[in-house]
Amino acid sequence: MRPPHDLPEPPHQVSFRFGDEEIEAWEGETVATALLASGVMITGVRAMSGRSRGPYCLIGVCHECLVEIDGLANQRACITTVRQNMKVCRQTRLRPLTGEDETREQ
Amino acid sequence: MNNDVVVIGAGPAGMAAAIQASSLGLKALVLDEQPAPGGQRFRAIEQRYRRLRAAGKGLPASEQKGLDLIRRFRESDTRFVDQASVWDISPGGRQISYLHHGRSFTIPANAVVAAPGAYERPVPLEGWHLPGVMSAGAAQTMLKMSGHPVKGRIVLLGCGPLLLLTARQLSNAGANVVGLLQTTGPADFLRATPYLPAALRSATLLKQGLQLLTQTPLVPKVFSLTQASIIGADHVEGVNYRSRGGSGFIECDAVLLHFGVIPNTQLSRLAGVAHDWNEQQECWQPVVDAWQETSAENLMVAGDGGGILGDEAAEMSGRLSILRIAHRLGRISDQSLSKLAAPLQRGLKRLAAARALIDTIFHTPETMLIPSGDTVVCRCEEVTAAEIAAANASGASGLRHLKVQTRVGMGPCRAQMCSMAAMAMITPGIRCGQRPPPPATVRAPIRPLTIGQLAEADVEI
Ligand SMILES: Cc1cc2nc3c(=O)[nH]c(=O)nc-3n(C[C@H](O)[C@H](O)[C@H](O)COP(=O)(O)OP(=O)(O)OC[C@H]3O[C@@H](n4cnc5c(N)ncnc54)[C@H](O)[C@@H]3O)c2cc1C
Ligand code: FES
Repeated sequence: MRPPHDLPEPPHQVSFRFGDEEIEAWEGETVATALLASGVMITGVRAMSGRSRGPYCLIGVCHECLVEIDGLANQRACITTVRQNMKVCRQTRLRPLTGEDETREQ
Repeated sequence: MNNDVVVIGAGPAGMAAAIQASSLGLKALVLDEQPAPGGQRFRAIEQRYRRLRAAGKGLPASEQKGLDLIRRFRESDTRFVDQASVWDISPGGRQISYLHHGRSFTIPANAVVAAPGAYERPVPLEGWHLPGVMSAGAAQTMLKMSGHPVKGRIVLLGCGPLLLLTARQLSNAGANVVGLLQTTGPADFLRATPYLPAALRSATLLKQGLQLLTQTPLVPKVFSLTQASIIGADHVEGVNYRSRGGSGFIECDAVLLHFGVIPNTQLSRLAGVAHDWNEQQECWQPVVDAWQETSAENLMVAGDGGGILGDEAAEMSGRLSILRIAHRLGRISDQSLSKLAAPLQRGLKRLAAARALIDTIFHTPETMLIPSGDTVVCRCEEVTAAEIAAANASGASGLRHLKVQTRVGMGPCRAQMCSMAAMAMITPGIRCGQRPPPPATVRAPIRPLTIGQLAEADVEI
């Protein structure tokens, strides 16, 4: 396999949906950095207090950037690499441990 | 089982370990949850290189060594799995579970080099939970990955080399930095003078430090900052601050906090190895010997995850851990072990000696150590300092008790954001030699996981 930095062409641009918005990104960057670069600061709302939240650490530690991606809740936007046409939504609550596709975290 | 060693983390430590392993004929499997190798210092450097080259430019010289390291890593016969989040490691480290593209895998490991790196020390300030507040490293990461600086009027606040570096990088990228509020003041430099001679042995490090201190961007600066609170309804609108020189308010759209970095000990604590309180760096870290080996045989911790020494030391410690493993497997003789290890161990000693200077100049001020009032300490569960103080006053002893009473540390970040502050709150003498209680036990999964993913885990034997 040829290492990516030896590829002759510059990285491609991809786009994905965040709610109703179309967000442009570089291939290989994360959902969170692309959102922030487009001026989106708020990625979630805390159920209890109604407070808005946004990415804080961008290295996978704080879990403040949890969003829903292609129907799956609790995905860290700062760890998930963008894919063309992926659908990202703000997360308005932490999913409880109740169902097959819901997280064990709570 | 077809790996001699599993390396967790593809930062400088993990990459250097893998390169060393492959040069000794060991098979290494490297897992990292990021899309590309590089770790924090060299994040997205291949992409940056490609973007810059397309624009007819090159990487800055300081970054070139990262690209070279990545090239050697990619060209070694290491198996590298990107976007692989390790969510469990068994006691002693013989089994590792990771999530990769929505599927969970569990693999056995003969030997492990955990190189998870560091994260920025969370220091809860009033309003730090507002959107628009990020860590300085996050702003840097955003710049590295997207090529764009944080939007709007930016205030940088805290202390440490990375704060100054980020200020410079943001300004160079055309960002609108409207304030650099540093807790550092003349008293810190005075206190640090005894450590200067040892630091002189690391000339390059010292030179870099001086450059950082003297080449800060031309923006309004405040020194000896003692207190700050961030104001805003739904997002950042400004910062109120107090310093030894007076108080003030700065209107802004983003606040970037930084108070140094601390080891990420989730994996080493999950694996149940011994940890110790590092008084100089004010953090918990795994106990390792001269080979980076923890209290569990063949479980090594390399790089900043084992104690903060920076990327150069990370490479050295990554290599050392592999030498030890290779020696155990009979791949290198006693003689070549000592020959290969000696310069690395010397290098580590030298860098550690220089560290005391940095740690003393840039330390969190007493006035920000213990949060109070409505300040949110546990961001996940939204527990305030007042609630923790009340539980503490009513007799909660230790972090576990606090957790049960207030839910502090029960959220998805697994107490990574609140445990330092909660610990300081229940250890009033932390700056006078009083040892804080050990952090609460970590339980798997340390990454969000669905029950489905857990049930379908693929086990490889
Ligand atoms: C946000 C941030 C920015 C920094 N920027 C700089 C800088 O610009 N210059 C500088 O000199 N120093 C910087 N540092 C300091 C940095 O710690 C060291 O320079 C150096 O990167 C440490 O190397 P390392 O290999 O020990 O760890 P890192 O470089 O941090 O690499 C660790 C790797 O492990 C991975 N990882 C961690 N946990 C898991 C898990 N559970 N599963 C899978 N993968 C995992 C991470 O994704 C990461 O890629 C920064 C630190 C931080 C936290
Ligand atoms: S921003 Fe901290 S985990 Fe994503």
